[in-house]
Amino acid sequence: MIKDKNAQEEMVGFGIIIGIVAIILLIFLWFALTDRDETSLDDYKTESFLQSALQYTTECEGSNGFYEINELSFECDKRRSCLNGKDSCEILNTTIRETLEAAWKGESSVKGYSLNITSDGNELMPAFVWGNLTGSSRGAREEFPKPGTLIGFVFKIYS
Amino acid sequence: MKIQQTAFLLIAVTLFFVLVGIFVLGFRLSGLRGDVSALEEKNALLLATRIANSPEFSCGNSYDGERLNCVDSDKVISLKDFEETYQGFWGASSIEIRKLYPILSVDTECNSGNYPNCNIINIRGEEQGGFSDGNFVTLCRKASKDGDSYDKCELAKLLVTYQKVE
Repeated sequence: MIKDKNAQEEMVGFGIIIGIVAIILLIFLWFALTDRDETSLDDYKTESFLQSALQYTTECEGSNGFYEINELSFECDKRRSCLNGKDSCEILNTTIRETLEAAWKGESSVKGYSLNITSDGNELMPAFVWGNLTGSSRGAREEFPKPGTLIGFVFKIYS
Repeated sequence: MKIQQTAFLLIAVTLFFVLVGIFVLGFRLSGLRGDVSALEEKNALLLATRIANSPEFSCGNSYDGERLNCVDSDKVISLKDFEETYQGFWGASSIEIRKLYPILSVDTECNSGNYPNCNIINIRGEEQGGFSDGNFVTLCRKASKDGDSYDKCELAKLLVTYQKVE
């Protein structure tokens, strides 16, 4: 009877030790999994890209000089032409597509990308999509308001 | 008998802790290599941004208001003449600004003779080689058309190279 009781006590003791170790392990795992700061790097790159690309001076000239991509999107929204008669949307389309290709197609870590341009929430032109749009994506968003219009750019890279 | 049981229990508990320790150590060490490379990439990105926004590189207010991540290529090309003065100042072995778009058919390094018909501006430091990475910037300059000056901004990448900490 006493022997059984001792064995029971030992079992309980062992169980408590296992329990404590399990809790320590869980705490460690929680720290190990939440400690990593992976979010900012790709986001930072996509943000810099979008900011820089939208300031690109296009070939479309208006009355106040050559338009940058963000300004040209307003011209495209209003379906206005450039001074040389070229279609603003066509130049916007070509410039953005080539900019995206030049910047991202050589990046080995990038499997695909997408860029959507909206005017007041409606698609201004078909989205620029390349490669494999996997489940893992990072992105950036820029918005440019003008009286009566809000142009939005949403860029995502997939890895 | 009881001492024997206690000894066995102690050995079992010690073994258990040792195994847990090995597991924890293995888990930690497997992530270290990844952490190092992520940290180097982060350092390069931050250094590139710091350099792009420094007074010697940034556009300031020269191009229609203040711009973020904007590099004045006219300034940088002049800076090339003072490479020796700035030795060790930037915290990088070398700085390269590579124009991404519009694309030039042949890579051409810029100098005062061929500027702006080139796509790579190099600012060399005292040591070469090491870890290299960078960030996107807008590369602006003053261009002219029919005698009038206008702002011409292009897409570029500012790459920094620095020595790895061993």
